[in-house]
Amino acid sequence: MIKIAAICGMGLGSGLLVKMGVERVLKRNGIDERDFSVEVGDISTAKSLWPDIFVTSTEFGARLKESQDIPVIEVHNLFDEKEIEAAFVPAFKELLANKK
Amino acid sequence: MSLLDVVVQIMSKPSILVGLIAMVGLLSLKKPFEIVVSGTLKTIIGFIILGGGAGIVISAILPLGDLMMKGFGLQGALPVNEVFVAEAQKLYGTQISLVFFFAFLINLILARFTPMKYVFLTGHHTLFAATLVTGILGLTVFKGAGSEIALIAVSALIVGFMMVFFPWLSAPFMEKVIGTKDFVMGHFGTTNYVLSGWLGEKIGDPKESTENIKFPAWIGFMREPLIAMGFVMFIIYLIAAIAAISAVGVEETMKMLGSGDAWWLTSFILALTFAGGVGVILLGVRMILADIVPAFRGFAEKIVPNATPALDCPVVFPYGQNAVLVGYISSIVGGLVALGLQIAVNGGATMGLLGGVILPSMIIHFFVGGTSGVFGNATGGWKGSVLGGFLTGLLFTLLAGTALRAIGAIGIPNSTFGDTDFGVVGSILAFITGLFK
Repeated sequence: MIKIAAICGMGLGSGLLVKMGVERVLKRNGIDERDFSVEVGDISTAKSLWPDIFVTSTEFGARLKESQDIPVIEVHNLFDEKEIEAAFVPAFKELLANKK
Repeated sequence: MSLLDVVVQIMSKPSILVGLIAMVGLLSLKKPFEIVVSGTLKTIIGFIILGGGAGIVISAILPLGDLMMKGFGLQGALPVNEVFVAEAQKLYGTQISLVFFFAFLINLILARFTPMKYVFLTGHHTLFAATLVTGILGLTVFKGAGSEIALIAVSALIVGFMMVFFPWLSAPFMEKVIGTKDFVMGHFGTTNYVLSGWLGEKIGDPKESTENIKFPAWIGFMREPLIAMGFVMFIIYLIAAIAAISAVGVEETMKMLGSGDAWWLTSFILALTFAGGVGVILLGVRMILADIVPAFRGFAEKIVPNATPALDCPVVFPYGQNAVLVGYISSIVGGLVALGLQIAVNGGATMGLLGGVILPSMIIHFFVGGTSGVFGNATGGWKGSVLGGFLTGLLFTLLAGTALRAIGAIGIPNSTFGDTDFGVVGSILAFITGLFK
């Protein structure tokens, strides 16, 4: 199971939007929902989550990248599922292929 | 104990009520059985975690109340929505959970049958609004066992209305920020966002954008509201402790702090315990919303398919990353000015002409101030950003002060609401319910 972490400032509103976007996009791309989990986190505790991949806004991308070796996908418009699809799905599929 | 007694016991636990809301949502989305079970249980656990976080926070700021009393002779209230909700649910948890549920339905009904076609997807703000309105009305006009249904009905109507009205208000300026009509603001600081956008047009030039300014790299740490909050709480504690020491001496102050350790060390630990407690509350809120909001969205898409989503404020941050910081800092200044006004007007009492005394809250300055900064910048460049931010801090602090008249009656020590729209609605309700006394 691929662990995805959606990160925002407080881990509440925008993180949940990203989580919904990621789940909908992955479902549309035929991924079984048992193959992934999406957790929402805030930027301060993000480092303790150890996901397989981070999704966040351009606000936090740089901060997440600087400390860990985990891939970080940044989006400009958190609500735009087309942007999430273009940025996130290829990276996710690559991770899925590596795990199997 | 009859079966009916047990059913009532189960249904009056707010944790179970929110769990049931999630279960209804998950079933309606036709999720597999194990996900319905785990989602429901996680929502219930989230609510319990919320209560646990409240305990941590209360223990961390109780000594502050004593210090302020002895040092300054007054009580200040901390506008941290999350803390207030976590505490209020102990008194009104059942009613709040029901208002929360029905407010979603009212939102959908209003979106379907009025021109305000918006679906409010910021779950935690719905929860805050439900707590505010239910709390104030429950203590005043709808007190007592017989008025439960009226309390829940009226509160849900007010909150549901807020969920379409404020997004509707934000729409014209939102378009100026993001360039499209794809979504609007679903966040209860809208009074200030609209004000900032409107003033920005009058006083500034969008071409002189904040995004042209170069900020140093280290400023990045200010984007972590939890850290900033712990840091500012430490400063507040130091100021209060020093005032208390000069009033009653070090020994007495250490007793109030509840430890034999050096007073500044205890203050440091208490400040970070506060931040930690807020972190726990956030985890709880996150778990509560995780299944409820997606379910609401699924419902909304079926019932009001052409509605515009109203989203949490950080969605505009990428459209003005520097504007957020400019708005944030200006807001802090505005808030301190308001605090000074409140202390001066109250003349050392806890409640005066302007209401109560409101301490600074970094979360609100960041999110509401920052968003005002973005709206102000979109219409008026850096000038709009600075003015919008400053007025935000000033306004939400003053309004939280006036609303404190009604909220104070809820009897939760040193804790109140922040975001501007809560201040507006809270102050209006305080005034109206005051007429009924």
